[in-house]
Amino acid sequence: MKRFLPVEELARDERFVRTSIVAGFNDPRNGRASERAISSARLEPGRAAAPDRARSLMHGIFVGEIQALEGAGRTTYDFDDADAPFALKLDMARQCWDEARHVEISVKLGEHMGTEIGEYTESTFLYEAACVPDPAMRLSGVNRALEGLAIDVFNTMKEFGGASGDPVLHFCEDWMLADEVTHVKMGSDWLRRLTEADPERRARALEFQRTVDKLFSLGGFRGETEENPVQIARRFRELAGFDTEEIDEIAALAAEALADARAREAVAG
Amino acid sequence: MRLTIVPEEFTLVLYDADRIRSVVEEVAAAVGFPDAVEVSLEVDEELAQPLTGSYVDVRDGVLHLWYSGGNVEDTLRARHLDPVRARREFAMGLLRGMDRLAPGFGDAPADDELTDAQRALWDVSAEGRAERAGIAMRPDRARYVYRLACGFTDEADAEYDRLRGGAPISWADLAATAQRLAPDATSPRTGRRDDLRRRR
Repeated sequence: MKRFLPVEELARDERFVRTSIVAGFNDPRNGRASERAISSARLEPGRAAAPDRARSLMHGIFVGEIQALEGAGRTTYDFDDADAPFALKLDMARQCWDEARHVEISVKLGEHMGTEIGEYTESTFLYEAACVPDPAMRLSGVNRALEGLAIDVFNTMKEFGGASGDPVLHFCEDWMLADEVTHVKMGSDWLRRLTEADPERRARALEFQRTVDKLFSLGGFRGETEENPVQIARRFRELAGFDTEEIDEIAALAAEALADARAREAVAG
Repeated sequence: MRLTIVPEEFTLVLYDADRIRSVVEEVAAAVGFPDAVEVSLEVDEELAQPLTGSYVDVRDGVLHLWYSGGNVEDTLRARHLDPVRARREFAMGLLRGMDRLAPGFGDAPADDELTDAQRALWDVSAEGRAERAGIAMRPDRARYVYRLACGFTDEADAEYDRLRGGAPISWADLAATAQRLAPDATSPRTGRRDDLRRRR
């Protein structure tokens, strides 16, 4: 079997249509919605377009889970034991099991919300972040940054389910959220162990994490204000091993990403 | 049917007003929309999916339909019109417009004054009628949208089935049903979502 599988070779059937993040940046409609008198961009049942926003996000979670499965799966195989200890690979194998279950749950939740597989496009940048050749960077970029984002997204969806009186969404998201907390914690623990004697490598890994965190704040997608659909889940991040300083840094990166997006929109007119 | 499309030319999206016109005319024939009624249809091209929303109102005998551009956008090809979604959306709008022109809806408030529950109940009825007129609808999506507004309960589901199945409706009936399903004044279901048309 091939090591370091490029994103182009991911297995997908005809239902999946890929899109590039760049295409989204070039959409001339970007920023126009912020001119509307919408009380909040937070994903809540009483907000504008809440049903379709929730359905679209659920599909994004579904394809994200597929890529998380693929990313964790690659880490079990791409490295020799010298680069990635067997116990780390066992943890990644456990994560694969969780992610596979999350894919199944997400398919069912999609059906529950009236969304078909392939109704929305798939962006593969989650998997692309999981392709870095250093296992320490995969742990920081995938387990800490991306699984950390999953904590924020799942908590937002869980609260959406709770607020709308939807027990199916609420409980499913809660169960998946518990797994994500574990995945982040595994990433934090293994990152510490792999880089114990190499502070420079740890610094590079954490810098990569910051890059991924900013990228995945996606121009205001995640943050702590009314302008952010997905809210940073501080309490669950603490349970996953993030300290307050780290969470503050993620919040600052998110605010920076939103400001960058506003600046891009201003330039585009 | 006298139909005005706003805008006549789209600049932010790759929609074509003539194509939209032909979809509306096809759907109008399918649902039996009266020829004598003047229709103004606006598609707001600044808004993208999934930021969806629509409003149907009658003013001075003219049916005004407003849609977010996201309502008719191809979810797989940004900025392109999806004629299947457009057919669905326009059918619902025309059917609700026909309701507003009927005597039983004389007291109905404007769309931006409807609660989410009132609007969802009305939509369910229109969806069922559109489906029976031969328009391909999305019942699973419709049920979810409805449940968000009217509750994830057996009682709400029974009402959904009744209305979608073709039970005759009037504004008084819809308002009473909404009151029964969402009686709590503090419930989010008695609220209404932001009007996407309004600018800051």
